[in-house]
Amino acid sequence: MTFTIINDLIEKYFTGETSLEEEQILRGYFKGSNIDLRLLSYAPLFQFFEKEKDIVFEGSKMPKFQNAEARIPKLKTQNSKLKILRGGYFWKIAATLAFLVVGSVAIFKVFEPKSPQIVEHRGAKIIVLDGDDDPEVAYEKVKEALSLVSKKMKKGTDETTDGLMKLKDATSVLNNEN
Amino acid sequence: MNFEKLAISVKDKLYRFALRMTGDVAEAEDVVQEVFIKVWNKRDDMQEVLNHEAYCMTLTRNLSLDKLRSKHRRTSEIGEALQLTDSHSTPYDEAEKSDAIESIRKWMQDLPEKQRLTMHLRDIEGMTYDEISTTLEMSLAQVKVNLHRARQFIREKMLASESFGLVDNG
Repeated sequence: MTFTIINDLIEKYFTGETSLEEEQILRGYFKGSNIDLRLLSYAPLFQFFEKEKDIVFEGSKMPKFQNAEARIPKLKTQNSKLKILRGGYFWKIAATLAFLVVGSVAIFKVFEPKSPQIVEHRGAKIIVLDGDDDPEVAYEKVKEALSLVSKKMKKGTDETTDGLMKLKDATSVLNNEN
Repeated sequence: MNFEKLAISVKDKLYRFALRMTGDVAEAEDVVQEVFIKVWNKRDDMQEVLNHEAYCMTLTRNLSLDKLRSKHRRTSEIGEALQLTDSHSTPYDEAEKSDAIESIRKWMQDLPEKQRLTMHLRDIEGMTYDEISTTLEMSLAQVKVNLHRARQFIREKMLASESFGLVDNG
């Protein structure tokens, strides 16, 4: 059973497919004394890895530094976050955001298109598109336009009647000649 | 973490990595010392660094490469730099002289640099693929390919070796 498991792991190992945990299992197996004879040939490799770890850098060769126990500063990103919350930056950012929001709303309100309104003026219903428009001015403009249309229609009617009269006269002359 | 704790926690790993790269005890020691001096001088900038250990490993790699280049200029034979020098007593000398283990050490040293360093970081230092990728500045796919080739190379050498199978099980 153990042989099969270890043998499978060995095959996986040489194809580079083992995880760190599986490699740890192999190291543990070959460190022990109950190695299956069929797997014994692989033992030196894993023993070599273990032996290499015995190579150490002697402490006496370490350069000496004053205050070497001083802490290495934490990540800037962490510091920045704390500074934002602690150092008043939070309120500055909040105030800026509030100003931007209020400003945006005000600008939107000023330039917002107004909805049309129907206004009664001198018996006529007038649609006012802009709240600042004067209904009286609109009334006069409409009246002027209708008057112009009326004049043109009257002129057209007169010309048609005149034409018909001329046609009637011409027809009478023809009848008399016959 | 303070500087002292960081130094103690990574010094052996850095040293083994530098030794694997330079193949020279004295140069590996120089590299580790230079790494710590650099980190100390830039300790205020360390707040920008997410993973201090990975940062130290990358510094070790770069400084070891500088040593190799410098040696290459002096000798015009970079291969010489990759051999363990006889002039220094190496920690390897102090290790148990098992033929099989010594053979594996030699085969590993014969691997192309990327494969050798990838295998070292994975099999000796137990680093994840991500950490190896960051340290060696290569993609995850390259890490996997290099590891696969390195292990296959070692396996082939083991199979071909006369010492294969003649291992002391103590």
